[in-house]
Amino acid sequence: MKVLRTPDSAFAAIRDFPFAPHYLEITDPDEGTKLRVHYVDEGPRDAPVVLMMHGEPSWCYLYRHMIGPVVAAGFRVVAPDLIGFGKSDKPTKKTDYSYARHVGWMRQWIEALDLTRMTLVCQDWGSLIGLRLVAEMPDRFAGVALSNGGLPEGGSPPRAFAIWRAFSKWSPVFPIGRIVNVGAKRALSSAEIAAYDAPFPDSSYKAGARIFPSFVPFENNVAIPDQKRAWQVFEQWHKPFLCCFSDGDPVTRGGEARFIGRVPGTKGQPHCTLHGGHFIQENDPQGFVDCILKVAKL
Amino acid sequence: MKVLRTPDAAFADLTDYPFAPHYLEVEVPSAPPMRLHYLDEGPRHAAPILLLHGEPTWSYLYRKFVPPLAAAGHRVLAPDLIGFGKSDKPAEGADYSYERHVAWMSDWLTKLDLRDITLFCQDWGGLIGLRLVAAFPDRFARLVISNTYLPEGESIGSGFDAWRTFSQATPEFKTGRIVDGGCVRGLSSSEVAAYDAPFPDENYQAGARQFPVLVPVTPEHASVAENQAAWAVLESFTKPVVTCFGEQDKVLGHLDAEIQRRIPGAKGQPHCRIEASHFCQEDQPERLVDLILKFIAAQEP
Repeated sequence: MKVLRTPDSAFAAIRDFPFAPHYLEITDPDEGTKLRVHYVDEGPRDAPVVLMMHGEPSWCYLYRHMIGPVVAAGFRVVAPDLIGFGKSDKPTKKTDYSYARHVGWMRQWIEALDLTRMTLVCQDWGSLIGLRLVAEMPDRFAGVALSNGGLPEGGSPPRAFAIWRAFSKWSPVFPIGRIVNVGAKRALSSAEIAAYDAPFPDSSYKAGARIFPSFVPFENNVAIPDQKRAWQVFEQWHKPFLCCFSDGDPVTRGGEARFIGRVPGTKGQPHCTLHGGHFIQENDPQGFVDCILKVAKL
Repeated sequence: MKVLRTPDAAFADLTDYPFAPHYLEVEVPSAPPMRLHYLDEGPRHAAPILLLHGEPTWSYLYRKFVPPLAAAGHRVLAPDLIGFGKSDKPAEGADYSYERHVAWMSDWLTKLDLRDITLFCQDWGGLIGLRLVAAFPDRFARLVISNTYLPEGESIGSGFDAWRTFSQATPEFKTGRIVDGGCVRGLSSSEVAAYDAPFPDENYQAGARQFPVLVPVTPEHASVAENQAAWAVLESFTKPVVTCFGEQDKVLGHLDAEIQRRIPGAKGQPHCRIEASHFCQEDQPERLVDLILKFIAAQEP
């Protein structure tokens, strides 16, 4: 596995991300390759953990407006960059990645840090991976706040997703910052767009971002048995599970209906609809924080 | 005239064609109205990119073009010719003629009132599309031409002759296998099935069977005079024209030089040959999308 590391200088111009970098090296279990995971780790080390997981094609920069308020409420906030994203290492081939590998990589990272008493905060692929981590290690998690994501287990993709997936496969260009900008339903500044572009100095860094849409388990995807097993765990999950989807995300809108009622822990939770697009962290970070603080307990 | 309509169920298994269907009724003299299916993605007010398929395909051929072109801010239209895809299919070979195909597409083009068009055409998409350009030159802003030509009654080579003979002689006209054979890469079984999908049985294939014999490659063919008249317009067409032909297209891949020589707008443009066979849209979709976007961008103020 050939692995690229985005040089630190690529991130030097970012002004609105004051968080110290933390790094942990994991080992790919199949090939033995060492992979460096970057994460933000703020707040008291002994406090309950709020785990913020980003998705495609972003990085933990996405949570920059949410980390401070959640730390101020007394929590330890841990926000990793998935392998292939942000300041984490980036295998260069699409075939270096799979859904199962992503879950395994992040599981290894959580076990190495021995994170417990976690509230998962997740969106997009952060939920596809994060919810699988909850299902594999339920004792480490105390609750879930889910926005604009899910745990697909086959079936037809929404039309908007299928078009996005075709774009990701066939577009000659893959402008990460502009993609986030379109999905954020507000005009990001040029500096913010540059911050989303920063992890990818050129297209050789983008294999992980390019392949993610193709891994979403719709139709007869290879990951569907894993998804069904995870759902069996969630059908017995009684800890708090709050849904706060956006009203303006054409891909995931209404996705809370797959969780509310089916996951016992959704009962009695103050589910709500946030106003914004796919990247709700860019539209209503405070609204998302308010939801987190209804689930996470000190 | 008996007209068949492929049931929607025939297309139910397509997983890589997420586009909403659009339909328009087209009418030409001495034929009943036909339902023509087309894709229409991207902002409605943007200048359109028109993607024209040929024999024996349908707009599925452009599934990898539509999302990136629309995402780049263009309106993208991809019709299914009558007899193909999700469009209506007259049941007899004699129901089809070159002039009727041009008339059906002219009716569609003018009913939608498309203007400032960037045309991408291949195979019969060029035989019909270049006739549309000649009929409505003011509606077209630029042309991207691949693996096609506009014959005027002359031979276009032994590769085409062999294909025409095969198309009439083969007991079964296996559309998906034919497309697969015209690609450098191997299509997946689901892609082969998608090219078979419009034709639940051979009754639906009259238009596909007829196309090869409608190409005017002898002076006795119909439409020779019409194509000569079209060339007269094209020979004074000065808007940008670029060719991008497949190196491995044994049937039509050698005809780019004539287009470059005869259309004035082709002069000085970045013509290319690419690593692709006849169905270049299957072999090199990213390359072709990139070429279209750059060709448009190069002429923007």
